[in-house]
Amino acid sequence: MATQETRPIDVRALVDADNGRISRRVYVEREIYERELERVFARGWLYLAHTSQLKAPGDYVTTFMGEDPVIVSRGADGTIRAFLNACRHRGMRVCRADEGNTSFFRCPYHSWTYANDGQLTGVPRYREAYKGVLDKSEWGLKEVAQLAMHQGLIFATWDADAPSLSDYLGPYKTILDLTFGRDPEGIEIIGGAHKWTIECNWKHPVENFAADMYHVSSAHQRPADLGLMGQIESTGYELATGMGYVGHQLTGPVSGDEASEDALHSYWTLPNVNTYILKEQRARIADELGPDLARLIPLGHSAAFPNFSSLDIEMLRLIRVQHPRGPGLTMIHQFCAVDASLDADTKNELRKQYELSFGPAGLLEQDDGENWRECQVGMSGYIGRNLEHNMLLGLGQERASSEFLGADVPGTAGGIWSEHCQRQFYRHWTSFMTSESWDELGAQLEGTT
Amino acid sequence: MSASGAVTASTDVEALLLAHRVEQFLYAEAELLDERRFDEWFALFTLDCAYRAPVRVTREGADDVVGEGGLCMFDDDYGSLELRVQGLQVRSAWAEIPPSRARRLITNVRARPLDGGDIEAKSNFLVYRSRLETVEHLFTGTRVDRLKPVAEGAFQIRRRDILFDNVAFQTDNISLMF
Repeated sequence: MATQETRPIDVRALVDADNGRISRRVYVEREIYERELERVFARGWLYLAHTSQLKAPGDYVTTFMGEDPVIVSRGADGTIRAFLNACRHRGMRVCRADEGNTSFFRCPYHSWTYANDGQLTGVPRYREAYKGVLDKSEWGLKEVAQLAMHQGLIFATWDADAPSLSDYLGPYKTILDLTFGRDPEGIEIIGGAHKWTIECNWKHPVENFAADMYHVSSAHQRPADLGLMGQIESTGYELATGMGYVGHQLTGPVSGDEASEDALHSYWTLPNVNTYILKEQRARIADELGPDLARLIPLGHSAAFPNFSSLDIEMLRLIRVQHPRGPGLTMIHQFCAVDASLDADTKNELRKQYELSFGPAGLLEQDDGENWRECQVGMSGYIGRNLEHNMLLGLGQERASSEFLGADVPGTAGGIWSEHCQRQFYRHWTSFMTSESWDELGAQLEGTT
Repeated sequence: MSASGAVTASTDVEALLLAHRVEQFLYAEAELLDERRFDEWFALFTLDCAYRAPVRVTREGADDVVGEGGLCMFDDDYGSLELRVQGLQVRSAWAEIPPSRARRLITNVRARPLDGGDIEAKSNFLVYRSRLETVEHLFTGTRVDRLKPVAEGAFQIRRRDILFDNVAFQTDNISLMF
């Protein structure tokens, strides 16, 4: 899809990822934000939902792609599709619920009615008033250009020219496999969602999930003060591969099971039900995929460009999408994921651990929201926005993951104190923002991954 | 409510006394939270307490509270509630340092005795949070408490079920108790 040329924005003058310097205008300015909606969110592969939320024909959930509302629906034929949630007549959302089951979506405004495969099937006074000028087959719900799944995670893009999801994610697929494919039955999403807004640019939380072990012992001193978290060792990594990033990872044992030969590299001190599940999974995956990849489990913080993120630690697993709502506002949709084959009691335990730690009222999440809002305040003035973000941490120390994390580990990585993944995010961001077409974008991304 | 469906208020003296005692308890409890006297607030809970707030889901023509095993904002027992209360008082509770100014308006209180001696207390809340210079958040909802009478006019909270009115919260975080 060719993009519309608006007023030129010299992105390359704003972003110098190789030298860890990013103009704060990219978090603040409306023109740059509008360009992101066009070039990032209308072209990239965006996370929509998980198949466990759409088990039966007719099941649907609603979400957003950028600022565009979408319906993700399993049709009567069992196929999962996604549509812009907007009537083709006057644009009203045809579905105003978060989830449900239906064979059709009817717009309340004039009762145009669409089957759950997107086709326009019902138009009041069709013969009497339109008298043949309306061809219903032309006016179905606007469907995404491509929809694909990996490990039950449903992604879509509005751009027919975008590469396949598999090619887009590249070796990051391995990270998704290790995060969400450990159970023979895969994961399921616990019912309901945590949704809340943070008065910050959408890139702040994505960068944090991409890699920011550096913030943990300051921003999350609270759980350490409560005795829930040990001191952070300085061995670990921040890894970038394909269109994704994996961060906050420790390679040495810090938690209560240090005596074990197969210690989990977690910083949580609370013994919990997941410890034993993870150990069994690591052993099984070591047999299947080798010890190098098994050692990455649990995967820690992770993100895929542009706005998908996940967290996989001893306490919990979550999926999180940062929906942009203007340069200074982000809508978080966050879900708790559990292995599908676990019994109900264990799922409940894991859900409660998630709620206590990373729900919006969680002992860690609360402080992130405060900090990101205040970042936005500090950089929104004229002087502030013209300063640079400092992403110098670990600059020049990144190397091939295989050199220090094991031969099978993909991508490039810095040590535990590194903003390598954030610099990589901005290489990807710059490629999207400066490319006119997917041909050009693909070539640019090739040079960054 | 009478059998005919008309709304009636009891003038039975025992019922009036109960309503008064429960109201005064809930007001005093709210004052403890407004004044950030968290340890005194936590002391109101029984050892076997439950403190829950299931999330809301917008559905067409169906229940808008998440089902069994679904996500909660809070799903605490005595131990995890204690962690939250301690977590509000450590030197690193950035979301509440400097402290927010919060005001709890507790209304629509209804009380009734349950079999076994406990009291069911329903109430609505509007909680206003003002933070730093211009940060403002509002929370509204309803609560159903199971209160254990412990002395003349005094109660402990055995169970609190909170139902927020929001699906999506327009707040950077939720660092208050309800």
